[in-house]
Amino acid sequence: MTGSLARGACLVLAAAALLSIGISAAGAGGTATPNVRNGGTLVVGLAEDPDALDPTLARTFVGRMVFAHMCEKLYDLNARMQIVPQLAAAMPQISRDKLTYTIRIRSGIKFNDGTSLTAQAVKESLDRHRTLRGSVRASEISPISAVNVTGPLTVQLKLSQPFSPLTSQLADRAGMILSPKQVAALGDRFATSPVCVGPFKFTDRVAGDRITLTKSTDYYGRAKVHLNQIVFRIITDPGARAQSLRAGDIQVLDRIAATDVAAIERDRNLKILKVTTIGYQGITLNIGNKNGLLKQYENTGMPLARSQYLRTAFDLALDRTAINRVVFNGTNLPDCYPLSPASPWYAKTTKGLECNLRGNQNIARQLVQASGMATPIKVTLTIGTDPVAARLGQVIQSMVRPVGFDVELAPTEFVTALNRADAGRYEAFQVGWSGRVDPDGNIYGFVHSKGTLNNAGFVSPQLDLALDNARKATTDKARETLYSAAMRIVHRQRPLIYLWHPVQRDGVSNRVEGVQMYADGLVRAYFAGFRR
Amino acid sequence: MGGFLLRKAGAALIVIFLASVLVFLGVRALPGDPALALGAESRDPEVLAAVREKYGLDQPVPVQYAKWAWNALQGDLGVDSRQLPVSETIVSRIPVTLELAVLSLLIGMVIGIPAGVIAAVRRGKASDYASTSVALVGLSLPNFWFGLMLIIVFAVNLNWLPAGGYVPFSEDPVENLKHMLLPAIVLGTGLSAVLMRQMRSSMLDSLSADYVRTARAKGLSERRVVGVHALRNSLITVTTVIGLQLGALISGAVITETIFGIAGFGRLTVDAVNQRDYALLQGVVLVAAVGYVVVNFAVDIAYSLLNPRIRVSGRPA
Amino acid sequence: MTVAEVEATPPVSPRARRRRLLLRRFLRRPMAVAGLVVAVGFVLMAVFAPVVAPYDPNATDFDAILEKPSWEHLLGTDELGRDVFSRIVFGARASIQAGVFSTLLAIAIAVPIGLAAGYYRGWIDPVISRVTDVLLAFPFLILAVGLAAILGPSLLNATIALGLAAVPGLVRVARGEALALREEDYVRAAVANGAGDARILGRHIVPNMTGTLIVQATVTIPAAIIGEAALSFLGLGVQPPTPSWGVMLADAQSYLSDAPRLALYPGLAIFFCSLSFNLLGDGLRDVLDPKTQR
Repeated sequence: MTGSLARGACLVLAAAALLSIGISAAGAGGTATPNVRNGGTLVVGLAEDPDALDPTLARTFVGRMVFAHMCEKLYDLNARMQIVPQLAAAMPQISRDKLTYTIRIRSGIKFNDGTSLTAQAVKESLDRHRTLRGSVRASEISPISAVNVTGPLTVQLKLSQPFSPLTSQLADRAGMILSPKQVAALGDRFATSPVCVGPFKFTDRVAGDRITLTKSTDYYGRAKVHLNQIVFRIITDPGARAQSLRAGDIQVLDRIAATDVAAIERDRNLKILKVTTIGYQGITLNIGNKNGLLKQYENTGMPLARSQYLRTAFDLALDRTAINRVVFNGTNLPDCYPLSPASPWYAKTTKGLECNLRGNQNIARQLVQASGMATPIKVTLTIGTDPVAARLGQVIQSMVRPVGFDVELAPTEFVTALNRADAGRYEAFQVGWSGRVDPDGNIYGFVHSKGTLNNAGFVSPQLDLALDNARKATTDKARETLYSAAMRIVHRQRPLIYLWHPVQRDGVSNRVEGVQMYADGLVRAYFAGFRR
Repeated sequence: MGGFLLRKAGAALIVIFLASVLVFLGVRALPGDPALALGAESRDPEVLAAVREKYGLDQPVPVQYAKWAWNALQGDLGVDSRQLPVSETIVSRIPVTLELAVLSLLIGMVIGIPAGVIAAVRRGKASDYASTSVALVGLSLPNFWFGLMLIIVFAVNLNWLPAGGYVPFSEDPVENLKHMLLPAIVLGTGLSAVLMRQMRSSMLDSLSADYVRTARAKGLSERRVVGVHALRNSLITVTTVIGLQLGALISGAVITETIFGIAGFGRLTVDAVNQRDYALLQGVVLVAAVGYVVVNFAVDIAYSLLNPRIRVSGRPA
Repeated sequence: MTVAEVEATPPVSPRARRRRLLLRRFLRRPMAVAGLVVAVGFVLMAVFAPVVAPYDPNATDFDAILEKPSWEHLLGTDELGRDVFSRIVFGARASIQAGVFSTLLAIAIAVPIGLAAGYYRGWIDPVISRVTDVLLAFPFLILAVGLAAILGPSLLNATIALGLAAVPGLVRVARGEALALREEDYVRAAVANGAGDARILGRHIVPNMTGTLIVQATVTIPAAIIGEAALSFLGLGVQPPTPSWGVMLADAQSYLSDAPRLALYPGLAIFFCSLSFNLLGDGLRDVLDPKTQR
């Protein structure tokens, strides 16, 4: 139906993801919006329906967009993707052995039901994230072994082992604090009427249709909030979403489809917010995943698994610029690496590596010939079931054909495709990752022999060593060196062929001021307002 | 009458029970682990195990069915992946689709019934051929394509009507109808073709029936013969057909609501399939099947009240 | 029976006479004849697609995407620079295949079941009728979508799914027919003469059902053609790069404002293809089905 695999993958993947990226900027000041009047209802068109509006259980990307307006966290990210305190009064004090984090909480803050934010509330929320049945947060903060209240506004986190991403986790949903009163009243049905600290409070939800938030009267920064209401309307068809924006039915549009970008650019009443995301899309190749994820990797014996030169040939046969032009109207950013240029680590870790965006069919052909394998070499490529995925698959298919690969497309519904990828029942899989700010989050899980997302079944002791050491390294300089080394191995061996970084575009009506989007792709409209 | 009612009700209950089993097994036969869908980006075995436990997916299927069926009898269809009660979600979507269905039915009847009457009365004349051919055209139009064409013409090019979306009637009746018009036309035209054919053939039946001949022989005006005697009897038959068309309307709603982005029952079904949301999918399909059985039961009853001859022999095929 | 014998009794044979009568009756309906001609045309187009299509339907040209119709490309090119006309021609294969084979499958399954219920009655009839009722509670397309989702997306599976989804309706028809024929005088006479079930079914019941079955088939085929397009449109049918009208429509949805013609052509193809079978079926019904002879 609608939506691309690229997008589809992002959405589902973005779900639990982007852990290290924060959401709101309430504590961090926000932008001045002088020409704005108070009042009005802002309608935001969302690309799909969020899942549970319960920070402990929530997984989707769009869900985070809604949370950004009603559930603040201990820490947050600013526009430069730096971690800053939000409900916490300062950055955590970390003990020498890195096993104790002391967090002070801001005073005088009220939940949207009028109750006060206390250290006890923080403990209860963190404990709920850690222990509630079905919690998606539990694994994100699993090194926390205990949360102790050491003062009315101070908590102490005890860790079982050092865990440097902890603060960034607390800048996402694991750092959201729920009203204890509401949790006591609703239990695990909290999602039916969530209450947190935030500029807006939850008012109503019609599943699959809309979520309504109303300006909070308890919010500490309420002077900066101009809108009376924000309504998130779910419009899954990209064309219909663009139509609604142009017709004025909605004022903010989440994710413009590639085919609608031109029309919205031409419209004088609209502007486009654009950001290169930190995620990627590419092709995962099954190298050693013969028995299933994390189960005794051994080479599958399939052509692309047998030789890194064949993988390079496949890669070089692809003209990434043409893929971007034909499939996405030139709206994304073609690239060859897991890290995005949006990441501060990108330039340093890819230095000296060669990325040929136009491909090189001659070299590719020579590599195939040198392999001595009989052509055409059959490769089955798993893709999504939507038109954009089909377009992409067919473009790839026709690009590698002259080089000697005969690609058979296997369009598979996304969850089934993930099942198969985990079980090792695939050869090549077009899939992506929503991305993490920390380079570790875009690399380790996918190519480390113990990575939980290593569907390639890729094993390289050298790479493992580099990635393990990068996790332990304390200085940025050391991590840079180690990630450069890792990148070199990944680029040479190519267990994954990285194709592009999604560039997200959101449309905003000119009647509205103060809508922001950071590199995490979340629309932030809490301090927005209609023009005078 | 009592025995007849009881027999019919019993049969309907059996059908509903078997349908519920079929729904439950069918949903589980879908490829793709729902825990993976629910666990989203996290593929940590621990998280997946926790998710399975939370949704009871780790229990044997008969146990799962028994629990689900028992709760369903009490109106509780479980919670979906949004942690919202499935029954509430369904209840909130039904009015949308019901409105669409009623509007389409109206359009279908306004076009189909007069066309059928005219075709029957002027049997063999040009107007008969015209309406019969138009009906075939209606039957041959793929509704998803017809919908796209209407969007291109009326929304993209002329900009008269919205391309999609839904505004509740209570919020803004005019906008509501504007949004509903194109989808209702799409569904209604297909329906009108079916109704037209049915109306034509049952009118032809009636017109050749004895009582109509008697009426004619008595010297009643042709207008009265057609308008009162034949028409009334044909409408009874067509009522049954409308009941049977409910299924087609639901099928149509799935596609139409998807194309026009209407958050109705049909769209909910598609979303549930795509998200592998077992609880939601089971609920949706069960409610659709029950709705269908209940409506047909009602039609059976209405039909037998209107036409007492049927009671003994059952509805003619 | 030899050829000579048939020739020896040419126009006198009642069967031949009846056939000739039916043919004449059929030929008197211009719409039905037009339907037949167009339907046959589509079948021929499907069979001889490689001869009819000017280009390889899957040959991409990324420097000539979304081109307008020209002498070079009669219907222009699509979003990957492929010749739309050639894809429409090849698309007929998927539609005809799904339409015809799913209908044959449905008949092959439904007729024996319907016969069993309608002819033997007994305990088997209520069981089959009840199961049919259950399946009929699920609308045709929903059933097909569900089955296709379970089986996995492919043309073969879509064909099977559409065939299975059409079974309950056909069972009802076959059962009704058998029920009615069972009471006919000549069947009763055969029973009285001590003919076995196989003989009665084979000589009297099944041959007398063919008219109804042919009519049902011509109604089921267009439904299956539209069904295939719908499944492919939803991503549950024919898989890329194989051309199918439904897939072409789904692809075209992203280009409604830039290139609406991409949505127009495959839709017209589906429409005319199913219309031709519907016209044919309507004509055949008038000719074959004595109940509508007025």
